[in-house]
Amino acid sequence: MRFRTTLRRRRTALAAAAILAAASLAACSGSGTAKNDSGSPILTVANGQTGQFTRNFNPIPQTANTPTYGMIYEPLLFFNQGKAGDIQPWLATSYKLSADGRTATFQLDPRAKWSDGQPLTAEDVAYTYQLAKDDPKLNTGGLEYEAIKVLGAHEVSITTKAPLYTELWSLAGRTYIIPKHIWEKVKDPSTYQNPNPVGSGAFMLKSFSSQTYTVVKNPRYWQPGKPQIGGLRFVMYGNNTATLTALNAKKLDWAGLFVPQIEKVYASKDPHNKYINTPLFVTELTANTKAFPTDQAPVRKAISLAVDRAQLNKLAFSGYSPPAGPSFLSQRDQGKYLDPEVGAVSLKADAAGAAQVLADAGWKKGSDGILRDGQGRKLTITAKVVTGWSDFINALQVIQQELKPIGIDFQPQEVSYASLTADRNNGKFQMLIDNAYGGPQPYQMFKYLFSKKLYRPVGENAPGNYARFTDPAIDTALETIESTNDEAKLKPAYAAIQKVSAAQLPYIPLVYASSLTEYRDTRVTGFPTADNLYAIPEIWQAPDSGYVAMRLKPVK
Amino acid sequence: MRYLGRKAAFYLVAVWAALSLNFLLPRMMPGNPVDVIIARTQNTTPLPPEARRALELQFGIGGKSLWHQYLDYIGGLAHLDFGLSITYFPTPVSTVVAQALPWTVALVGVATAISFTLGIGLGALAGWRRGSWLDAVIPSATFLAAVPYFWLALVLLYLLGNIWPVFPLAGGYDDTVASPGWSGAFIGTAVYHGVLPALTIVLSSVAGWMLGMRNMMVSTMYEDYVLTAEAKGLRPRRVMLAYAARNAVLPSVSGFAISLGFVVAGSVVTEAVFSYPGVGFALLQAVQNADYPLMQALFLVITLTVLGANFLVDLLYTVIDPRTRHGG
Repeated sequence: MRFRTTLRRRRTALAAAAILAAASLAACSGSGTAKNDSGSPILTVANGQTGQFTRNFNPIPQTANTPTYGMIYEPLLFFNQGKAGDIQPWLATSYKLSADGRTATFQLDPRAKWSDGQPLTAEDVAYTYQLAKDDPKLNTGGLEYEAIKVLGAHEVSITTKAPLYTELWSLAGRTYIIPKHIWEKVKDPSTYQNPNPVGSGAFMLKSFSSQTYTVVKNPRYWQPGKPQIGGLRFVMYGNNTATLTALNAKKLDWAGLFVPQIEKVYASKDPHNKYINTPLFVTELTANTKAFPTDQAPVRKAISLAVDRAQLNKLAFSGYSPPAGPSFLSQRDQGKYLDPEVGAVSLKADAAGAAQVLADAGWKKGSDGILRDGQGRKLTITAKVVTGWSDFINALQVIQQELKPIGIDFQPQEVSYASLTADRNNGKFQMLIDNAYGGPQPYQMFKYLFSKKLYRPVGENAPGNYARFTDPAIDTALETIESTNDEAKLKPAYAAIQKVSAAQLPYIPLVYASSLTEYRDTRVTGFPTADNLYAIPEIWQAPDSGYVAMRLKPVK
Repeated sequence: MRYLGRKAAFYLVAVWAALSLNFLLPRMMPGNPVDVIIARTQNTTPLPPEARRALELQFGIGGKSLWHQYLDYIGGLAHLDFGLSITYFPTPVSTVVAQALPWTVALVGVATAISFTLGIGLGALAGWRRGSWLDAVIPSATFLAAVPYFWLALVLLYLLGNIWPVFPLAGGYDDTVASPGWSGAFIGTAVYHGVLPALTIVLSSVAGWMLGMRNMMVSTMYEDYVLTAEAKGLRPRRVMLAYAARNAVLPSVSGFAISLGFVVAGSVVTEAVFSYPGVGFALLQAVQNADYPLMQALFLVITLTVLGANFLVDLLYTVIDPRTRHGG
């Protein structure tokens, strides 16, 4: 299951950091994954899940097992988040947007068929979207559908109430097409476990138990020559230490786990131990702009100035996380959309400058060394962080030390994950450390951070915009981006957002969040590399892991 | 009979109170499952904020009043329907519990039985031969019991899993060896994975049994009937086992019955440390994901086993100790 993996992958290993080095030493020899699979190997992969697997392969809820998304079921298009604007055909060979952007017409690949031999047609595609249109329970994309039309055996058009320029990812990249002839007999598709999935994808479920399951090559797969590997076996190791041990013992071919000092404890152990870091998201301090003292722009600015991001990367993030600036653009999008003015903002720590900003705003140091404003209120900030997320906790401790000499009393506070989520959504915090999430366009992250549509007053559950920050320039810019695909209009709109972000800093950018994938190239090659990032190679990244798996080549 | 009726009524009320608390407690925790799920997907493939409504509808939360949810809950229990797990949505909770329960019952049950047998045996011997070397073992054993359990478990895991990799680091079995079933290979790997967790449970609990048994043994040995038995010239072995130990073990037996009730509950730390795929680990996941239905079902299993064990002890006492029957 995609999301449950993520917590553990990053952080639990750190908690056991002391044990790690020993663990990898201990794993000197292993019998290896050697299976007699003559040319089409079954890879062993760990997606970081712990506890137990349950036999759930229903692609509609967001909780099914990893291979459901992309390996067994397929979307219409593939959105490569590794490259700006890279959209590849999948079930659809091409698509066209209408002039008003509200209607998307898809040409389906006529070769596509289900693993039971039936052809995949426009009827199946229309059925999939009709389910979401008719039942809000199944509308996990949250799109407002207006009409879904079958235009031919392999042609479908979908019309929504709002333009699709920024929603195409949700519509065509993250909706998985299901076979009508099977699902129309299902009573409640939202709670159906789909234990024996029939999909169009390159892999099929072969065996299942609560500790391991295997998907194998679909012999009828419609894309010629794919997949070349025999399949994938999903295993779980309980915790990151055990996963790393298995990786070093050559028992795993593909894993995604956070490993501190990866060169030392993994990469240097064997020339075939490879890894790739694909940072997509930005780790930031979310400031509650509706609570004192984080509602004061000078305070936010001073913190941003005082933080030494390079030091943070070194001390808290094992050196995998390059400093991030207030543009909030992923490294992928900077070439295209970075505003030169915002891009020129120095990310060097400047404690003197920070002190000056606060002095100019009227803050004066008290006898205890803590700043006070004109009304005598102390500059004390509580920053929430999830218990056990040691990289985030370390980061806050580093920041605490850096802010102390300036006179900011910065106090990290550890809370449970559910509690942090609730406090964040309801605006009950001053500051917290979080990752800002995005998608294939910069729009998704900007919407998540700044959208007026996601804004809720303090005390109400907000779906995004947790800083509770709105600005008319941002609203106009987001509206423009939603309503056009004209680059000449997009560039200034994106620039406008970056300018407000840099001036107001409702979110203080820290670093790009690392995302490590470990793989061994003894049995297969063809994983995405830094030079050829044709997909995000994370095993839990959907549908990318399926897109990658069917392109892997066995080593002869 | 009246005694039994009174007891049964008491347990019924206790069960109802436990069921209701079981319903309320998870809902008093901060956070709700939809937020947690949305937040978690954001690390990988973020769900659009608009998806919230769909998730709320799927999980059947949001709109309904607490009272309505309570009625649904009680109604579901009557049909043994615990609802769908949120962590493993849409898997029924009963499936998740059924997958986890055998691991816990086997591991903690066997470990508790070993610990009890070992503790009682050694305790009886130590009491019988007071002042011998065995008596000196007790303080060191109590030291192990006094060390915080998780620490003991972590140290053993570090030493026997990492430094000298005698035992596996995590999990219930090695799936490269065998898949679950009644095959010799599978039982072998399951036992191999269970030894270390079981060892920590035994080490930390054996001293309690030993100490209790030893002290009971010592006081029983001064009873007249033991003296009589010795005076009759019975063999010391027979006096020890049939006269002294047999009477000294009574309080420990009721203690054992109660501890069996905690077999299901007492495993959270063990399973968290060893990443053992049992009930405790499932409970941990449930709490992290604000998975009310799963939490409720697990608490229910725990509560019912504890209450059930207590009820059994009560019944047992009416048999072995007639005084309890007459409201003495």
